Amino acid sequence: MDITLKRIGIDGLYVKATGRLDLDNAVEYGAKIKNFIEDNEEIITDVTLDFSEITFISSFGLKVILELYKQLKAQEGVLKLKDVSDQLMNSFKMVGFDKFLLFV
Amino acid sequence: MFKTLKSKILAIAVTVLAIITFVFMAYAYVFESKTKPLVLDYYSRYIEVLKDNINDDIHRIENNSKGLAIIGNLFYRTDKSVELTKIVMAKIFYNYSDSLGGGIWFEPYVIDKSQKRFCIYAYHNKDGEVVIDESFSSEEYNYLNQSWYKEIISQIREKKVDVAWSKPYYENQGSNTLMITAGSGIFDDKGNLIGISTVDWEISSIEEEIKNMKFVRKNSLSSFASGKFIKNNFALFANIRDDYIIVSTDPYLDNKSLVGKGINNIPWYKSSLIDDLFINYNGKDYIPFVKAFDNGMNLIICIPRKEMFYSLANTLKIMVIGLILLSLIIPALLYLSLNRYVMKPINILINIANKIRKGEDIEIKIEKPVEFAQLASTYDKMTQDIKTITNERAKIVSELSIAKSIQESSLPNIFPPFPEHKEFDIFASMEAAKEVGGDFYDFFFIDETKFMFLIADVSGKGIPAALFMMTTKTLINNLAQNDCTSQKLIENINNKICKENTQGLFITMLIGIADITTGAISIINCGHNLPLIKRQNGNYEYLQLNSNIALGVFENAKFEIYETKLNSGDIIYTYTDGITEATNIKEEMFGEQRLYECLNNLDSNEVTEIAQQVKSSIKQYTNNTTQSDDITMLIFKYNGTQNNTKSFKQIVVQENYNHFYTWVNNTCKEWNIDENLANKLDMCAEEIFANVAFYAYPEKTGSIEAYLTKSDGKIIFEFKDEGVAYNPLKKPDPDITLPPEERPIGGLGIYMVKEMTDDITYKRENEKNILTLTFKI
Repeated sequence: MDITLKRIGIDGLYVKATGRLDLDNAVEYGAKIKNFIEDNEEIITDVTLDFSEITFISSFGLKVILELYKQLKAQEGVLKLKDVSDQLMNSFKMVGFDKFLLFV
Repeated sequence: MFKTLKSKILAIAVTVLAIITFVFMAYAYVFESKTKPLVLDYYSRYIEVLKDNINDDIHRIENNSKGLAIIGNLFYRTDKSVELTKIVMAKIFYNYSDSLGGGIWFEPYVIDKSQKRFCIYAYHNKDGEVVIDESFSSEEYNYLNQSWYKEIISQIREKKVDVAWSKPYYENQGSNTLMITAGSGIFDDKGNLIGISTVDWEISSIEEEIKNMKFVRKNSLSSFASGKFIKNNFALFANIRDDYIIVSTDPYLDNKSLVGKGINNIPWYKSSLIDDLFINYNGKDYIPFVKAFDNGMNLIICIPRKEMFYSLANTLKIMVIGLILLSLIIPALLYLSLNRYVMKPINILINIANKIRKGEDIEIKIEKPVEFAQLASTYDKMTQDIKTITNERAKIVSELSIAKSIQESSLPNIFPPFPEHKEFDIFASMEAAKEVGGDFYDFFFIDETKFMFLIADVSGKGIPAALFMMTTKTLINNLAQNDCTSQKLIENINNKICKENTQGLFITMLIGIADITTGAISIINCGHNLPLIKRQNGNYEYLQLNSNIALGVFENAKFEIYETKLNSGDIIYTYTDGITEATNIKEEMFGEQRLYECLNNLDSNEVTEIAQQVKSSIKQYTNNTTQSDDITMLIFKYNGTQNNTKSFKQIVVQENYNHFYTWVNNTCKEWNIDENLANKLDMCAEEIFANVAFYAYPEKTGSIEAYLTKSDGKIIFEFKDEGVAYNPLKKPDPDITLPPEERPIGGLGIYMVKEMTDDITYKRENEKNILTLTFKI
């Protein structure tokens, strides 16, 4: 899975991944972002996840998103999901994540 | 009207009577018009006789008068011998028996200058003797002043008649009788009238004669003789010319006082009487018969018309009454006898027939009339025969229904017959026209891949056709099991049928032998209706096969076999002529064109639906007319050999996960499953895979088996593992309404699987966890 992380401004992070967020990749995806935030000198409070190239998300992917949300929430940060396809949106809705996640 | 026998016969009777009555009436009319003149003529002649009698009297009296005149002349011319003349007078007068009296009378002073009156009078006394009386010349009587004398002498003088008649008068000298007198002139040599002779005619004698005249009433039409006299007839005897009445017997008048009076005293008299057919007098019709005499006297007899034609009218009346009675009695008798001898037995027979119809036991008892007794006994016999026949028939019917059920059960009738074979669908049905039919169909596997189906029509119908059909069906089934080519098989079938065919029956048949793995099919048409074939996405078209000879006709016949390849979705529609020859009310056949149109207008490609819709189309066309032939069809649909189930089996380790989801995704692509469902399958696959990978084999590594099956409108996703028994469905669902801060990180997977599937089941079988997910397409 290709994962690209990009700093935006002082406290922003832009994440673009390609492929499936599943059993195989979700953990790696989540870990990369988490590590980036933790390793960064500045406090990251604005994370944007680009979903335009994500083709699939499973419960493992959803679990990772929830963890990220919780982490950012604790730091009073914001998690944004960008360009979520209808297909994937169904999965978010299924578990009620659409109620609190910010889709841009 | 006149629908019943009874009314018909009565109508005929009444009509005949009416005709008879009419004919009689016509006859009576002619008869009456012919008879009336005869009757009139009869009376006329009758009266003529009377007239002749009176006429004779008149003539005699007139002759007598003339004779006396000669004596008077002799007396005058000769010596005027009174005594001699008296003797002569007496002698002559003796012969004038019907005259009361008569005499010779002279004008004043002719005989004797000294004697004014001279007469000699003779009369018949009571004893019939002639008495000479000279007293009439007396002063007292003074015959010269008597009316009769004056009347007679003036008539003779003025009218120069030989004989003159006086008016009726009373002879007041002695006898005092009413009489009428005839007189002739006595002349001298120079022709001077010197006196008259007279002969008296007593009116009462005339009256008597008239009154004695009786008319016999004619009682029968053929004979005038005998019977009663006519009553109420009356007569008038009068001198019309000199206008005085002599005798009248009119019952309404005082006849005595009328004597000598003018004729105008008779109220009914008219001068036109002689021409009149009848007169109406005092409310009655009379027919007058007028007879005139030379001397101006007339005899008029009036006869009541009723009396006269009494017998004629009476006869007609009796006949009419008789006819009316007849026309009442004859129909009545006819009616009664019809009732008794015809209607009653017929009603009995009707009742009996009704009882027979209801199947009741009956006893027929008619003894009279003989014809009905014979009919009844025939009925009796017939009833027995019917009973026997009915029983036999009932037996046959029950046997036929058994035969029908045997025949029905001999044809495969459970559909789908091979549910495990998705490569093809087949449906067939037969609706027999009679209890047992000559049509049949059959299908079976010759070997693992070759499937044979056939539809056939045995010539003829009923039991023979059915039996032949059963034999044929069995032998085809047997022969087909031998491993041989289609060519050889059909030849064998034909030869075998030829051998067993003793009744000269034959069979038209269409056979299809399909390889269900490849779709290759051999079609053999043995004189049968051409099948229709629908190629995938195309129309039904008649398959233009060359027809072979029907089976059972020639032994060792050769058969041309049509070979083609069916693709997935191709449909072959076969049928018997019962479909194309189904007729509607107008006797028009359903025909191949209608079948063609019907098939191409179907909205389904399901074999059972096709059969159903064609049948209802035919029903609608025939509109419940009697089905004349078996309606049989067989529909074969080839689905192809697509593998509907994909399987996956690998060691369940995370390294293999990508193999697994690749397999799922590829299968979805192959089956053209839409993105949404494919996504669901993907998610479920991951979840179950992860579950098995992480929890099923805690101490060792095991494998996971997965099966994706596509069938009617759904995808079945089955997972099997040999790990520890675990039913994921028992896991409680997470609360997805909780705020994110409170939500646990895990536990979503199974919940999502349950959410996405339409059905999910778990079972533990043969030490395996089997989880089956069903998705609707």
